[in-house]
Amino acid sequence: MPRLHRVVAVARRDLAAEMGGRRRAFLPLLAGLVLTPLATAPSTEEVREIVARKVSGDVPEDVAALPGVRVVEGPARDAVHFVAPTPEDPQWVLHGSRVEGPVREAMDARETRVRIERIAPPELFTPKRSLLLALVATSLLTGSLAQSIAGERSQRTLETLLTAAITREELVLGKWLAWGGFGALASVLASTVAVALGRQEAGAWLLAAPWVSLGAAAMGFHLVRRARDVVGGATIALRMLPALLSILGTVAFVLGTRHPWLGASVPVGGVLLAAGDTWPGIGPTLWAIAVTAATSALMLRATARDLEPEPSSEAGPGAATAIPALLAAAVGWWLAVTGALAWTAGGSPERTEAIPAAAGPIAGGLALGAIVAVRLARAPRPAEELGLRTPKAAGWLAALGGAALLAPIASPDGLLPLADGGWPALLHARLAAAFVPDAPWGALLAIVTQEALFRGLLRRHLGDIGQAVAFAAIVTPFDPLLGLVTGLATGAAVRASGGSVLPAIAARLPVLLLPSGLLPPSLAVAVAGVAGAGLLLLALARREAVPEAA
Amino acid sequence: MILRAVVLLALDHTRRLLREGIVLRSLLFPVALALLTVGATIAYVGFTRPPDGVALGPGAQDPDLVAELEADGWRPLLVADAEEAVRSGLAALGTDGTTLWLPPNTSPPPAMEAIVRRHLGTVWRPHDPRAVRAVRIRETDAPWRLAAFIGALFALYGVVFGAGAVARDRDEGTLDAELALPVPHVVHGLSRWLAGTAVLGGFFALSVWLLHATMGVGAAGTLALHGLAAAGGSTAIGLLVVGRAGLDRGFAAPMSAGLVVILGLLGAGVAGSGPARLLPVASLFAHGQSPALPLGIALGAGALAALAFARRTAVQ
Repeated sequence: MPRLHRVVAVARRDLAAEMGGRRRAFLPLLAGLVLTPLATAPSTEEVREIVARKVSGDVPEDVAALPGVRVVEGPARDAVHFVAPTPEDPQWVLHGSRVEGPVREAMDARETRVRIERIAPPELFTPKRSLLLALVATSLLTGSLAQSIAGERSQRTLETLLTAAITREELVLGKWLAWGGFGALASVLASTVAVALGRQEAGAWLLAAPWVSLGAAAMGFHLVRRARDVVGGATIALRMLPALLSILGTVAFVLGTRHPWLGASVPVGGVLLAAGDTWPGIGPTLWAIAVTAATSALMLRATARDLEPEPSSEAGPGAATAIPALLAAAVGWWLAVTGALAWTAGGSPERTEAIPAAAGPIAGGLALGAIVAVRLARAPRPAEELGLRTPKAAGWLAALGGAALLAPIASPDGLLPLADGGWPALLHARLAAAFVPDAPWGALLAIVTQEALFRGLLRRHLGDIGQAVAFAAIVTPFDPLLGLVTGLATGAAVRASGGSVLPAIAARLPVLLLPSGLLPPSLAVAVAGVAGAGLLLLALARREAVPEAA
Repeated sequence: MILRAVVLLALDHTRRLLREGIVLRSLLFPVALALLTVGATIAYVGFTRPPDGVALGPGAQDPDLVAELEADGWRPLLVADAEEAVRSGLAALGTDGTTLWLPPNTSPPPAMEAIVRRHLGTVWRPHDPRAVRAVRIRETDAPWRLAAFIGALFALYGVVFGAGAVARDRDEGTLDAELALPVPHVVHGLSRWLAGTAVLGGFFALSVWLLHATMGVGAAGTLALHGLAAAGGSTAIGLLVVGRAGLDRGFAAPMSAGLVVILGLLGAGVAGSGPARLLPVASLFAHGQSPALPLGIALGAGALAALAFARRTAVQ
């Protein structure tokens, strides 16, 4: 349990370091200079400018007399051109890219047969100026967050602090109290000024205002916890904090349009919108504060746990070290294979169809290859890391068996039927086609880089089952059985070979023959039988050899 | 022996480049930014475009209207409550034969509204711009230009890689240690050139194919090879201009000279035609041209840069 007086002592020390000496008043002065105009500036009345609308042709008199409507000669590019009704065509025909505003309303007012109704727009809550106050107060913390932990580390004072009679939690809490508290105080003061001057009505948002800085400070400390010096800390804080705040705020706003409680459930983003007096009622504000407070506690705890005088950059074997590579592989493969569908989502499926499908596996293969290259460059022994070694004979036999098993099932049809329709069907079809590409060079590149990454590099960190699950999740997410069987079969070949990745690649190469029809399923079954028998014989021979040796 | 030394040293330099986070970020940043921008634009257009559904309530489910809407590419929705279909965003327009419901903030596509209003017999209808609905894909070389522009950026990186690889090692003292190895000095220049060319060429190929897979870059393979030539040429220029400079010994002047040469080549590529576009870097903008000659010139420039490096280090 953190002791309050020690937390306060750390906070005072941090504040004194930043605001001591000649720079004593700099940060508060800066806060005042930036926040005062924002808090005191009068609100501007919304001025709706009437844009002159040009009309031409047989313009009815009531339309021509409308304010803001100007009659011009002849059809013009930016004018609505009227064609009067004729015996053949009893309707007025209005030419122009968009018939909007008073012109449309005036013409609709003439209707007698059909009632025209414009659906009322849904109520859209928009943030008020207090959101800006909270954001600006938080932005003042960037330098301090960058300096606080990383500065201690580069000046070698973090080691002293960690060996002092305070716990890591007290140290982190103290720093959070100092800078989160500074931002919160600045935000509350600015908000109070705005309320006092009548710029914004007081409300539940005043409760949320300080939590933006407090939440952002917790997030900032977590981001810079491994920075070695101020430059590193500043780079991270400057790059990540504004981006995260923007993203979380936008997500909260979008979710909030569905329901305020949904938006309030976004950590930090929810409290940011609540500070902007976006949603009615006190409920969403209190919920947003609770969510952000809980998330801040978790982030501060994680920061305290990871706080080391010298952050380690060498990654040993373990699932955690594989996560960046897995994320990069997922982004790279999915972007390459399914990225063209973005045009379909944007309303232009013709553009998607015009992009050659063969490009996806090649781009995906290159992306996976880049991940392998970077991982190898950073490994102390690249060949060993990749599993480039002479395989045992059992590995080749297992590869033969694996090839016979995989060749019949590795088709665009897969093991599970394609989804019925909609987006899942489109994504499934693309990913299934990329698993067995038609273009041989694309297929070869994709297979070699997939095996190098999943069976060569990641198997060491994730194990046989873990790599197969990861492979299925990234490469065949809509047909996980196919991915699992492939991952397990090729993983078994690597295990049988004594850790060499070469049999895993060999096990998948016969797939290249599928489009040519040179590999009928009956032949594959026969090869599987031969491979199985060979493995059995090999195992029996070893069993008999052991007693002799004994 | 010499070939083995070149390969091993080139691999070592490649590893050093790929180990640096800032180098990786620089190589991935251009294509990531390009894809993110295009993706965000498509998403915005996708989210803001009106739906293509027309809600037809019980009184408006005329087979002729349904057929005409379908023929024009719209999606008739036969629903019990057309107003609700428009309110929920499923349809851009709805009618039950006596009332026409319009969406809250935008107007429906004119062609769609024209068909419905003609059937309802309203006082007016928008002109039916059927030509606009005709589906056609405009042939565009914008993705190819975007990829070529990223190639130009990689060419600028090439000067930094070529010049920086020598200047930094000279300042750190590792170059002297390397030169003490029992191999000709040209090997060290060649290995640096190979490493810079391989890393830049490889990541440019990745950028081009990612753009090709998402946007459709014409002749992606050829452009990737032109990029390899540009990487080779620009790294060679970096090695050539660095001279005896180090990071703390007047690095700015040779660096500027190298960048000016690259910008000159880029200018020749963008504005020029004919022989100028046969040069590496300039050839990035020569659509449809074979990359054989630029690759050959880049190889020659690499050899020249390695020889110049050997000559300079021999007398330093």
